[in-house]
Amino acid sequence: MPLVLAVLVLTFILIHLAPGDPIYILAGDGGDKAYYTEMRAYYGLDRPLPEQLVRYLLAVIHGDFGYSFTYQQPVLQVILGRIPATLLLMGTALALSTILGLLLGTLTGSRPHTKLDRVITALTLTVYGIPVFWLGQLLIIVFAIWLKWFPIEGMVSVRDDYTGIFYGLDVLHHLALPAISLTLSQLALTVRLTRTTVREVLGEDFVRTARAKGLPERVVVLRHALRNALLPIVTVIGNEIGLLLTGAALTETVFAWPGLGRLLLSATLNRDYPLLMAIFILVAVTVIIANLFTDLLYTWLDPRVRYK
Amino acid sequence: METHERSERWSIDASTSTSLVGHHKWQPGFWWRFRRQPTVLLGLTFMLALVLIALGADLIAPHDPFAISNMVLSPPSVAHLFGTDDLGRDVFSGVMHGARVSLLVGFVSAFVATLIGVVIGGLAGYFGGLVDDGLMRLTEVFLVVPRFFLALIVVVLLGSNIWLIVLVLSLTYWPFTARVLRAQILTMRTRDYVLAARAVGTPEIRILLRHVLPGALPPVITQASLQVGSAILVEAGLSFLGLGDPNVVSWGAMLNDAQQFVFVAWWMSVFPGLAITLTVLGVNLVADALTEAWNPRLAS
Repeated sequence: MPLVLAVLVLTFILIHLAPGDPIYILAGDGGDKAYYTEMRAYYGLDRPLPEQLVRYLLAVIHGDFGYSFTYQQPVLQVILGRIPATLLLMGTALALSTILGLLLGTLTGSRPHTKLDRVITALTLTVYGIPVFWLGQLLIIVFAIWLKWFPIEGMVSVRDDYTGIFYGLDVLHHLALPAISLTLSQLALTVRLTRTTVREVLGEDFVRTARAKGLPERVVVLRHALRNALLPIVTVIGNEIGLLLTGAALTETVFAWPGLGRLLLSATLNRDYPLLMAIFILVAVTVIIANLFTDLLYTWLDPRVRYK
Repeated sequence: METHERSERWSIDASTSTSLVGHHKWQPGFWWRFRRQPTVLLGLTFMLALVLIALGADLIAPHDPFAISNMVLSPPSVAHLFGTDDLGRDVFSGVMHGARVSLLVGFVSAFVATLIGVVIGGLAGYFGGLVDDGLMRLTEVFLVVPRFFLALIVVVLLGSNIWLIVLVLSLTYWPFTARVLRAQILTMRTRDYVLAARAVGTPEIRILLRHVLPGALPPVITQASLQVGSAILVEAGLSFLGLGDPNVVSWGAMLNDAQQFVFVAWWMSVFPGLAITLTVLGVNLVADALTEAWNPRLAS
């Protein structure tokens, strides 16, 4: 909670740091004179700064992010309409990258310095340096333009009116390339992390004990090493949710995926300030909640840690 | 099996060398392990080549990266190695000049962030108590702020400028360094050699600078090198959204142009993207080697 407050104060400071009248940032760019007079009174712009801050905080906490002139709708409604598409993309990428990442990371971490390890490590290090939006462009060039296997952009085929199962399949067809881009860029992190952690855990005494007991290597790696490696891995994945959101925003831009990232770009291009600030606050709060959730998960997974 | 035996011997080697030389991770063994990493040479070569390209871009680039011509959207040829873009600008020269912005943003922001992080982490770890509590709360706030989105908002509100991007990145990367350094100092403070130095009456400031900091440096440097790559990616992402500094050539901005022409001009996308990837890869290869070299727990 104090963290959320800190982020809100930060946005408030930013609004006032910007050159020009803050009312355009708070209330949007495109209203008439009467509207601005009303909004100035609402945010108390003639009052001292501390009071302005309190009014701003109250408005935001009540879910009042202002009005978007670009979309002719309250900002909150515009944002809520875009969340499902982003969640679909992010959820798919997070699930795929976590499962594949644990698999590949354990595979390489338990066989360090083998050929397989070297190849996968080199690949992940390379993918780690690839900007996700460029990966998207490459996938479009190869799989959408040259091979014509997948649609280039969007979430549904506009000209065909699919319903039911065909609608679902159509969305999946559109989802494939963006999801692959985002999965690959997340995967690199998860593989590297899992590999390092599994390697570290394999050097611990209890692993030596397990081996000494004559347990098969597979059991040692899966039941002893991976299980203990899961903790730090879960933590880092949870703490890197901001990275996933950034990746999703950029991926959506490349594939014209109708989610929050796409909305962010349009808000930027149209200087739709209330919308922009709201997306920023939403992202920051999501990251904070994800961190909190990760901490709770950590205590639940690891009986040694108990918060009071 | 053969690899297995070798790894066993390795771990014994590593542990004896640590116990012989004792406390400092910044020991000859570190450099030995660092140099032995096969990736180091590759990474350093990449980076050296990039620095040379960035410094000499004016001399070696065949064309002015801003010069437009009527050779519009022409594929790679001898005259234009990487082809030309929609305004007839030479992509090859653009890629060379783009190295400047990326390296500048990457290294300057990582450097400034490391300085801030070392000071804050050092103060927190060394003084402990209330100072530590206060600084760590501050660190937590900066740690959760989503860097890319903050940079985006700042650039939209305050206008796009390369130094503004560097500033935002510097102000959002330091928490990692501060945390790493604080944790290191907390473990170092109770080491025998530090206690011994204090027992013979060495001044506190000298203990901090001579005995504690050098031991804590490796993770800080590793962290800094990771930040270089990450910062380069953030700048590229901002420029890709059209929010980069319009007065400089940036790989991200070139990819932004390329987006509309993916149907007709793959070269506009492929080469700048490849440049970003190789740069970040080079930096991360070095960072990776540093991590492997200084972490004796991994030496198996």
